[in-house]
Amino acid sequence: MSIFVNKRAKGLIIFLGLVLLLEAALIQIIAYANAVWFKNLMIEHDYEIAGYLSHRHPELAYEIQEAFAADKTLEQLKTGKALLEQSGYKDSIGLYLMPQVNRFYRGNMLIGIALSILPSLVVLLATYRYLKGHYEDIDRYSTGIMGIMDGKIPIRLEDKGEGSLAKLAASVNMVTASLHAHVEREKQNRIFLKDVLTNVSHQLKTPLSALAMYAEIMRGEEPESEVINEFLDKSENELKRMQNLIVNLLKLAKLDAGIIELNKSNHVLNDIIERAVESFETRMSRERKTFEVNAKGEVIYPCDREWMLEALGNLIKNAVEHTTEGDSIGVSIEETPLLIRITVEDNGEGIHPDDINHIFKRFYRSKFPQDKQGTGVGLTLAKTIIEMHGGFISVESIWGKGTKFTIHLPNLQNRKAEFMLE
Amino acid sequence: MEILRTENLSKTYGKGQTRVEALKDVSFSVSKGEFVSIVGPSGSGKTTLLNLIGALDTPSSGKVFLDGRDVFTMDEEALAVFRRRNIGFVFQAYNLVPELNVEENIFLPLLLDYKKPDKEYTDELLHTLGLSDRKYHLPGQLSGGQQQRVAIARALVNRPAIILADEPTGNLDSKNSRDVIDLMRLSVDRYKQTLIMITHNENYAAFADRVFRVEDGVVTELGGGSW
Repeated sequence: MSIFVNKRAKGLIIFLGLVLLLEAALIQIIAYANAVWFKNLMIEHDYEIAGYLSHRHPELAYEIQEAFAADKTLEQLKTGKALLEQSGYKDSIGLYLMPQVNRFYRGNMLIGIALSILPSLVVLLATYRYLKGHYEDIDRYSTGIMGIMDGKIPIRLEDKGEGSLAKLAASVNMVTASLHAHVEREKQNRIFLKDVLTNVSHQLKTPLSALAMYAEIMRGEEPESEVINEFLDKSENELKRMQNLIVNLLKLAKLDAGIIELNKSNHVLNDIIERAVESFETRMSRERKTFEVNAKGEVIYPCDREWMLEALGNLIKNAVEHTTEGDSIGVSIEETPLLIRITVEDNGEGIHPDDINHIFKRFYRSKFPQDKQGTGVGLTLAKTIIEMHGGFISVESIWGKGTKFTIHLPNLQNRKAEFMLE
Repeated sequence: MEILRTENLSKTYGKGQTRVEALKDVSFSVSKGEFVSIVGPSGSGKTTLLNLIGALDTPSSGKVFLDGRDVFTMDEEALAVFRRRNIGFVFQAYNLVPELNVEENIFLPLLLDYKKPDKEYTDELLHTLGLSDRKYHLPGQLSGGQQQRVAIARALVNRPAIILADEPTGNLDSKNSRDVIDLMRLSVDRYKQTLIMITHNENYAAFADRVFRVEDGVVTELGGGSW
């Protein structure tokens, strides 16, 4: 039987069988002991009667002896019954009126109790211990599985030994290993993708810079045609955009591959914002857009400076790209005990409600064609970076009125990290 | 990965003249890890929809599949257990047990399931929600925002398949509301949970990956169209 493969179940069944066998034997022994006891009690009773009669009638000594030894007839039984029933000695007589019977009853009662309770206790205890061990194992497994779920991949359930539980554990281990393999393969794929992108972009860089150079040379010839100048501008813009796209794609691929370790240390977020803004200052003043940073005090936050700069830069770039002359862009930073919020707000063209849920998708381009230079990667990049910092970006926008991006960063988790460093 | 799917979900109340169609033929699907908000005017059927998803109410017709399981084929007892293990609820009125402290309130869903609380996880959860130093306070000693954060922790502690929040900030002022929504979003992201939230405030829709609008019992996805 397969259940006997389970060591503990086998042990329990053997043990319970032994207990039952032992009890059966015990009952036999007790039955014999009872008979002996009953015999003794009967003899005692007979002695009493014989003694009583011989005291009253010493001359009947021989007859009395004979009365106990001789075979009796049915007639004699009837006569005796009729005689004794006259003095109330009959079937319905109370047990307590007959001392020997009473003793026999009480003794048997105790034996009965002992015989039923003791083995039951042993059986209950054995079953309890078996079930307890069983469920402790199961609980241990679920703790282990929870751990695996939490990403503690090296955890393996105890699966040495025979039996269904160990088999279950082995299956769980198998699933874990296969999941782990999948995760690894996924990671490998991403790294491969990143490598491909790196190679491709290196290959593209040379022709791109050549193209940029050719455009420059052509411009150096000072062409008189309006059309040529216009298309030189256009091609230079497109080249820039392409270079930008390649750089951003590489960054995104690196982030996606999960090979980037954030180099977190305490930075003043206000400074990072300043730095991010600086790179757009000339462009903004050329396009006559006003810019304002709004902060109540310095906010220090543990983050990776370069990546944070990248994220903020992309949000600001997005704002610059989607505003027109005379519009304004505002960045504000706010700290609460729970969170840090950085908002990048503009009063530009806004995002159409049909677009708003898709803007963070990579390469998403508005359904409403505009002549913009965006690559469709910047916002995705910003989102990924902020998520790596444990935060998220939300967006509110009114079509035609403006857009507000908010970076939400958890303030507490990082405090905890600091606390742990101390 | 799809975690929730509704198929032609309809709910009508009353009969004949007083018949009201609260929901009409709602079909959509939500993937794991998505943060979905449901907006719409009062009486449009938002709460009816959420109650059907949470199996707190039965539909007149249609099906709800949660984690691949057809919810309304279960009997009442199985459903109670299923709800306890797979759905976390956050209500407008917090619904904390006033006699139990913060930690005990959070452990409650685990204890109902005779599970041993994972201290490490709950401590981290409390920390994420900014409740570490409030662990032994009674709900009465907390602000509304803090109470709602406890309710969020309680919904998260079981790692349910999906969390349903019905106007979680309905009783809070705007500053507390923002914190609660932010933290909800942060913790949902952090623990890779799926959340469906009803909100009156359309601004909070900005926090969601997807926005469903309910109007006169008809559900449409804003800016969507991919379902």
